[in-house]
Amino acid sequence: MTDELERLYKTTYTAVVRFLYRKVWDADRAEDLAQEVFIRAMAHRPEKPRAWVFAVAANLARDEARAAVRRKKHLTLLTNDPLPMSTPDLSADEVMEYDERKAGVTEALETLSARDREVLLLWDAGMSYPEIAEQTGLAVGAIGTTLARARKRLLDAYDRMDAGKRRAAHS
Amino acid sequence: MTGWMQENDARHIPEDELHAYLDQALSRSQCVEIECHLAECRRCQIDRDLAAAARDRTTALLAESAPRRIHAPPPFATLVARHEAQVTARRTWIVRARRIGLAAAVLAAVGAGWLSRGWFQSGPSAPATVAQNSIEVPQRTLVAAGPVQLVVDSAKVNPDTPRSESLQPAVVPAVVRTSTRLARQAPDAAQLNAEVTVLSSDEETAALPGLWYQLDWQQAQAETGDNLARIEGLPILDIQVQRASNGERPLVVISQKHPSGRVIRTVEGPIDRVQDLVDREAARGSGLVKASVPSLTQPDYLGDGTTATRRGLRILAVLGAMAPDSLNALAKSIERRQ
Repeated sequence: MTDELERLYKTTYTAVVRFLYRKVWDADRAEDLAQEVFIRAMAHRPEKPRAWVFAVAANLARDEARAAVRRKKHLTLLTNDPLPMSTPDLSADEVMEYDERKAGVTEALETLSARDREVLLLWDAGMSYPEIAEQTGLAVGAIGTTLARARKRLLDAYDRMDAGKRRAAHS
Repeated sequence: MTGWMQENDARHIPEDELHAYLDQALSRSQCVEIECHLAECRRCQIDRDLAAAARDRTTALLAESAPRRIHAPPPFATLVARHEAQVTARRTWIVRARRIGLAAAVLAAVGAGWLSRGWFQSGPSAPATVAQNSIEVPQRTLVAAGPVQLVVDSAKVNPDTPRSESLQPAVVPAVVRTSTRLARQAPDAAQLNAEVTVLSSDEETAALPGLWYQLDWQQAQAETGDNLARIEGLPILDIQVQRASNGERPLVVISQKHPSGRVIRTVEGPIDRVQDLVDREAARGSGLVKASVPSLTQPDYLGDGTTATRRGLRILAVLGAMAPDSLNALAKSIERRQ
């Protein structure tokens, strides 16, 4: 069991961090939560560790978001994500362009419904349709429909915001 | 593929099926069917390309929303160590909680025992409480020779009265009377707390003829009823009772200390027995003991309520080595109270 969990840890840790980051929008906090997820997995020894890890990660992220709302820091986290100080591979312009794209994606994600966003992020974390269905409570056959809708809405929202920014930049 | 769209007699792959196909979420047979259709349907090929573009672009956008750099995960052994530390901390907490609970239980038990001690002591201690509240009347002994010293509680002595007087006993009866407890709960409790150490003459304290029981206040009340004939305001020395054999109320003699130092006896009972006792006392010794004019008291009744019939008359008389007028006045005070 421990070996299986260790393999899962090595192969899934980054995906869990990404999944958590898109919910808490804090890289350090996402890494802390990811490690907490695997420590809990050691205590619970789940039968389906991969699905269990993402389910617990989602719950922890939800609790974290609630706590952030209580602390009235949620908006601060969304807008002031601290950047790493050392980015030797990116120029200042590239960093600025990256931040703009990231802010656009973040806003576009926020326009999705909670269910669409959850399904999309779970799929992006590498989960299969049955795993997503098990975690979200949807039918397996509904996952494709939900994903198609979520992708379309995300791109539409991002393009809409990007067009608005371009118009604002030209004007 | 029942979910396929049908348009102008041509069936097309729905968008969600295309996404599932691209995500490799379909079975092998479903994939074969879709690939066969895509090989022949231009429109579905375009839809597949659009879906694939949306999928790839979404993946790219989501990648941009990922943290720029994720630190290398800590070694798995580190997580194992943290897990074990948490388990140890949890066990320690449980042990501490159990100890605290045990200590609290012990304290609660001790506290409960402390608080309930009065419950267990209340039964046996009740008589002790009564004893503390009662007055021990010292034994009175008639001394054989010489003048006797009369010592009276100064608080109860009339200032005009000498604190001592000499009495010369004519006869020396060898009588030792037992102690009498007089409860403070009695109606005239204020007068009962006087300790009287009296050595008196036989004219005042000689044993009464017949069989007598010495009772305390409560016992006397139980024996005769609440209305014991006595002189208000004088300390009670003893109470003697002579029980009747036919169910009548007993003959009661209450000895009290007069401020003058004399012993006053109030006799109450059936008319014939009281009269007999008065006659005997008047005829005894030097004739110093006088009696008041007898007066009627509450008669005895047989039965109760409307069927009660009077059984016999009762009277009371006050005896003492005093002038008859004084004794009559004392008897009158008892009558008024009766």
